[in-house]
Amino acid sequence: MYRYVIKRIFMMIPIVIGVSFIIFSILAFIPGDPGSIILGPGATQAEVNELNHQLGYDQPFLQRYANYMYKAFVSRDFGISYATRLPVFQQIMQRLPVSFLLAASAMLLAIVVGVPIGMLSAVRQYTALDYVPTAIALFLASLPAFLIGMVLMLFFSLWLNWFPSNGIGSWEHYVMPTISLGLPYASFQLRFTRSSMLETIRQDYIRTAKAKGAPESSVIWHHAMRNALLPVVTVAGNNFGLLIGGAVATETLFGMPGLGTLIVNGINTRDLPIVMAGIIVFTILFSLIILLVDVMYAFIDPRVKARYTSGD
Amino acid sequence: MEKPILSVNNLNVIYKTRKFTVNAVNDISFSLNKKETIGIVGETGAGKTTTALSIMRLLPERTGRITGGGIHFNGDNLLSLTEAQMQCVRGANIAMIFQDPMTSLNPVLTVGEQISEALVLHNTGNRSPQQIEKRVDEVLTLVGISPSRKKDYPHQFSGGMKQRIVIAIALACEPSMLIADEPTTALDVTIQAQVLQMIRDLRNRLSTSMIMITHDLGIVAQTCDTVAVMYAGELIEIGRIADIFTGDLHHPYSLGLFGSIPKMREKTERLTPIPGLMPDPTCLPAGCHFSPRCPYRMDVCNTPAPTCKMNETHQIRCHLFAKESLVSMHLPESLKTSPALPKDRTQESAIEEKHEAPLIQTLGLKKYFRIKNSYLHAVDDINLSISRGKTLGVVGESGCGKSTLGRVILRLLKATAGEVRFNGENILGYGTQKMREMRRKMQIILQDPYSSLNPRMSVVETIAEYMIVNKTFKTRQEIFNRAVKLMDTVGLARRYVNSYPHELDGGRRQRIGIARAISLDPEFIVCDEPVSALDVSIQAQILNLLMDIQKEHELTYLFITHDLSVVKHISDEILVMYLGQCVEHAASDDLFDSPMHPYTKALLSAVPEPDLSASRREISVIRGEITNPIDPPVGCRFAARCDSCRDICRSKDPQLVDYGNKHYVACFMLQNYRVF
Amino acid sequence: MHKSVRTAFLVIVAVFFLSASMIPAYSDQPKRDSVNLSTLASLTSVDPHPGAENVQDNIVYAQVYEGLVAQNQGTGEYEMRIAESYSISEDGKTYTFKLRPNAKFHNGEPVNASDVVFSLKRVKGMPGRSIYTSDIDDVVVVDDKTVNIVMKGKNAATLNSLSRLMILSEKEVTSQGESFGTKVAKAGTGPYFFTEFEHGVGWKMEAFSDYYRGPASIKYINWKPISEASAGLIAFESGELDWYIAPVANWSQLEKNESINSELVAANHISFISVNYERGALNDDNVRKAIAYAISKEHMVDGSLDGYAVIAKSMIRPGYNTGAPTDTFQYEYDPEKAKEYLAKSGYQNGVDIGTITVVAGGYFEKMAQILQADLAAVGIKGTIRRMENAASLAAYRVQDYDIAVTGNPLTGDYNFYRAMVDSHMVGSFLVKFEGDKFDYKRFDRLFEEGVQELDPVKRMAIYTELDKAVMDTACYLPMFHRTLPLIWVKGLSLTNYHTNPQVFEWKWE
Repeated sequence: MYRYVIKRIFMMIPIVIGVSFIIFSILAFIPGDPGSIILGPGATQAEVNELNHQLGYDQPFLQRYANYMYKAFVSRDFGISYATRLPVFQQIMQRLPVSFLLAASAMLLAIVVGVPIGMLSAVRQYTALDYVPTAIALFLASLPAFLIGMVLMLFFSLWLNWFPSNGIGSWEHYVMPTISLGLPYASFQLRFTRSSMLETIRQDYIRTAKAKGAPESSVIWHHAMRNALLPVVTVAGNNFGLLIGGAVATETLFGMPGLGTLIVNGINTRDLPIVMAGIIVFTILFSLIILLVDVMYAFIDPRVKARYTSGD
Repeated sequence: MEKPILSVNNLNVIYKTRKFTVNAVNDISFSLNKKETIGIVGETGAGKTTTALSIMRLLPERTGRITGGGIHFNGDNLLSLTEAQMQCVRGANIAMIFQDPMTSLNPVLTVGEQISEALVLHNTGNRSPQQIEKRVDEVLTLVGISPSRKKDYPHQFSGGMKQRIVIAIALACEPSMLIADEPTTALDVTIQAQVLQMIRDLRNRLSTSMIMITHDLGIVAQTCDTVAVMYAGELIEIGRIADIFTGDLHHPYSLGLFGSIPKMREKTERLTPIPGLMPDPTCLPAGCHFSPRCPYRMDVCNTPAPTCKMNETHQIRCHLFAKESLVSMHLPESLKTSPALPKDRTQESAIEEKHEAPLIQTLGLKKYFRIKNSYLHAVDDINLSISRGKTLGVVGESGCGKSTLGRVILRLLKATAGEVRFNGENILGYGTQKMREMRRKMQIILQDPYSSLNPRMSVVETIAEYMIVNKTFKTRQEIFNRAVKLMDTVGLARRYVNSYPHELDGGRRQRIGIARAISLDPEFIVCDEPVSALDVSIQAQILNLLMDIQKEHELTYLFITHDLSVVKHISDEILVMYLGQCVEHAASDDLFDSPMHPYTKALLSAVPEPDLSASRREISVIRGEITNPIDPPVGCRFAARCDSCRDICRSKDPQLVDYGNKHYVACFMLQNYRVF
Repeated sequence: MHKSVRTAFLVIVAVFFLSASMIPAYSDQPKRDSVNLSTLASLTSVDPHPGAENVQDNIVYAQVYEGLVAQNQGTGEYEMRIAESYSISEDGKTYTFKLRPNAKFHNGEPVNASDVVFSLKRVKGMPGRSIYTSDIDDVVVVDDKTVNIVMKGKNAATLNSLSRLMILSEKEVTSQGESFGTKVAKAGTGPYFFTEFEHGVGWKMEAFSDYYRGPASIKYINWKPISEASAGLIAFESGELDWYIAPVANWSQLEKNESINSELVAANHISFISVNYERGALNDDNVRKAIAYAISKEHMVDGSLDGYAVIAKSMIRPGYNTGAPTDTFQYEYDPEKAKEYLAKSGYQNGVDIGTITVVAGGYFEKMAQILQADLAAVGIKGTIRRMENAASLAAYRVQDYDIAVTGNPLTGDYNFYRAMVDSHMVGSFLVKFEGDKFDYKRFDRLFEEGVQELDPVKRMAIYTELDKAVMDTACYLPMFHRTLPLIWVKGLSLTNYHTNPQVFEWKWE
């Protein structure tokens, strides 16, 4: 098990190098340069060239990449943002808690709402307890997070004045972003849990359990639940990882300084150090979360654990 | 008369969905006495499992519904019990064993937990937790599994052991009745023998009554006291085992069922399959459901058939036996024969010794798969040769490498070493272009007809596919004409030209596969378990078809199967494989008459035969499990399971030796006998 | 994010507004000492000269930093700030500024001539401000409170340039060194100083008690960035913001809302179309003129900004921008004339001019669509090429476009037009006037003459000639000057209605 975890951690090295190289290449080959952006349309070409030179942006592509990676991983210097001249790592570490908190609370909401209702829907298939939540889930899933956020803002900020519409600072600030981000995922979790549960309760071992004389509650909780949760855990973990860097719309709408917005703005302004460090941190974080999910899997499913222990 | 433990009276079950209603079980009645076993036989869709689930009251909640009749267990009507009361019956009084042990156990709970659960649920004796643990140990010991393994999870056990655990769960509370639904169908034949024997032993020791649901008449012959034959939801014949296996009078369907089964101990030219298919359960034919397929169909058959009492214990539901129609006068002679009695063996004229070069030959063929740092010896030094127009059967249990062998010969897998010769030429050395031409001469028919057909291609497109790719004809029209002719050849009605695979049943799908395989006029076909997924009556049709086509086109078959009776029926020679190696190779009759290798012997004796004379004898069950040949040590691979194993078997590889009449066996023990 | 969804939502927000305005959400408050403001993008630095001038950042800097002089945003007149007076030498090259004796930096240090020298020399070395610094030859300390600014020649735009260059405390800036800009600094002289600065989150300001014009009435300013216009509007409506530049699409509702103050203000900004004369058929003067006549500015204003914009008669808006001519030539919408020009060029059956490049999203894209339609009406075909902002800047800089639809803020002096026309500003803007096609040397010469002419009347005459000459090329086609809806809460009294607010002048009633 430990060997497996260590192996997976080492596997992250090529992943990080690969992902960062791809991002670096894309940024290098799309038109636009940081000098133009920082100096704006009023500057002369000479000024732009000078600034690009100061930033080291005029060096050959591979050299720039190698320099960056060398600095980042050997001297642990992720560089300084072109735009703000703040150390990039500090900026990311400032934003990571915001993104992490938002993603975690949204996923928590998604799980707390989605999983039990999904279970219930499956167990009570073809009843109102199934139809109503499934229909609502389908409706919510088809709404963009942006729209849900807007409706929440109108209700809770504008009319009821319960929650601030913008910024961070208190738990109240996280309520609406969590709901608007979490609801579509809750509906996704719901549908996923439901189908996973439906599949599980049709398994032969559920019939075996019933044939033993186990009452329905025991069949559901003791036999079906753990099996049905296996894929749910994976999906929730993946979604959580994605949300840390992918909640850009919600972050923008609610004025939350998150990692996703930082990276997207970095791409827009060709702020290479921000983008690179953001992507590297995000990749490592995502890989760790996936690893965590896989390890959790082993605790739920002995078959998986056996596979890890044997080292396959 | 003794009061039966279970009596089912006029049971009717339907499955109702929004689209259609299926009459799954129609008006069946039977009873089971204490300590006795009833076998319910029939093909897929006959209603066997539905009957069992009705007794357990475990029909699918939304769709399945018992619409009439009664089920009395120890005098209580199970159908009037509440769900809570029923939960007390399940597991405690009636237990059930399901078909597939691979999926019947909860993968995330230890086997100990799963066994003790039933004990905790039905803890009538107020056992303490320690006593329950003790009981779990007892039950595991009973089914031959070390109690020390109760903390293990299902995936740590082999298929046979899993089925033992399923049985342990069922027997934990010492139920008075056990329902076994195809308990050994998913198992290899030697393992099946082990499990069957165990079930029989335990039933006798624990005095349990049993319902044995199976499609295998051999198992019935070996385990049952009473047999009920079901067809399309109806119980068409029921009787004591002697009535069914040795009696004179039979329902035409039962007769057909027996005729469909290839017998191990006799050589018949053709199987006598039942024509047609079981009717669609959503629209059953009026009257006798079997009448459309029945060779003795009469006008009266479109009214429901009466149940006719042949004797105290034997009932047949058929108009032919109705008293008022004075049947015995008109009863066809053929219905009076006892189906299972061995007929005189048709003395085959000795196979003409044609000394022509074999069409297919392998020399030292090896296929190793790399698994981490070791090699799996899937095919290890196989030498075989098949003459034109002949069939070589390859038999072995799962994991013996027989399918790999077929694929290596066709070059679908790359051989690790050795040669495959086609007409004397080593095709393993062929280049891409030459091999492409060669591929036309070599085809494969696969086990699962459904997954080997493209669901988006119609029947005629599927059959025409190879011809289009190979540009056999100039115009598409010619190709399609030929495809339609091929449909005739394989007995597919022309109305299916534009059907899609999902609209057809397994037998017809397999016919498509066969038509496609012969579309390029191949010389050699690898048949990889072509009938394993089919019901017996359909299986017989397909086997007959394969033999007819062989004759007509002078085809050469490599017939891969795990089913010994099938291989006997179709093969000229048989090669028995065990863990990648050939242990015995002989003419079909020689092998079955005088098997020499201990493994072959065990295999043959493990097959339950639908023959009372062969049943009830103590079969020699081979112990142990099939392992896998990963970096096998020197020595005979069967040594670990062999009763007559000596030191030499573990220190030297046995070689194939000809014991006369081209009967090759790889066993040291035989060599010793010859020496002495 | 789906743009259509966003647009749809702006409409919904607008509808809700009328009903929302019935609720008195923020009236009976005790007299407040703070004001909450927002910008569309986060302030990137507390250093007022980090890179390009940026309208959003300038809103913030205007509260903290001052130059020697300041341009009144209403009138365009120059007012004294850190300097209390100035005089010009005989040759018109040397400006002598007398600094206010009571002007202090936020760190308590008095403003000395050395600080002015330090600040101006620091900016001179920075890219992005050359339009203001390139004409400054030298800055010399005369005494503690007197400083001489020596221009390279006579320069009518000197005050404009100096109003754009902020004076920072030498001591504060040098003590912070490299990190200046990244954290709170007390380097300014303005009415407010930074008390908190967190990039992306927000920043706070406090009134400077030693401010030479007296401390500001409102004691604190809290800022946060809200990049979504509709989200900002909700924040304003829910009382989280006190003053906001609303999306123009909401103006018709906001205007009617009695419970708030609102004012539509013209921005010092030009939205225009640039035609690349070096490309294909566009090299033909008649084709460019046909294009110029084919475009209706009314269509542009109505179609892209719901009619809320001021039609531009020239690139540099007269009135506010010093020296900008009022008597200018413009192409009046006349499709027939456009067709005539097209016929003259030999393209009477229509012509494909290639692509219309535009930054995707926003009103520029709508302008491009209107342009495409107007051109199609006279037989000119163009395909819209949508680009991302950064990519478009790079493309414009190397003239990689056929026709571009874009816009730019103006600086307050006609001299800014040099950045778009003067051949010395190589590659800085969309059209590069070079070669034999146009008498670009005349443009350069007229700019030179104009900036050296200190007499406003004569200066404007030169620019009138220049403006007509440039307009004749039909390479820059001015469309309109944007207007922005300002909204602010009741009880907040503003003495100026500018997009670049002076919180110093605001009061809570």
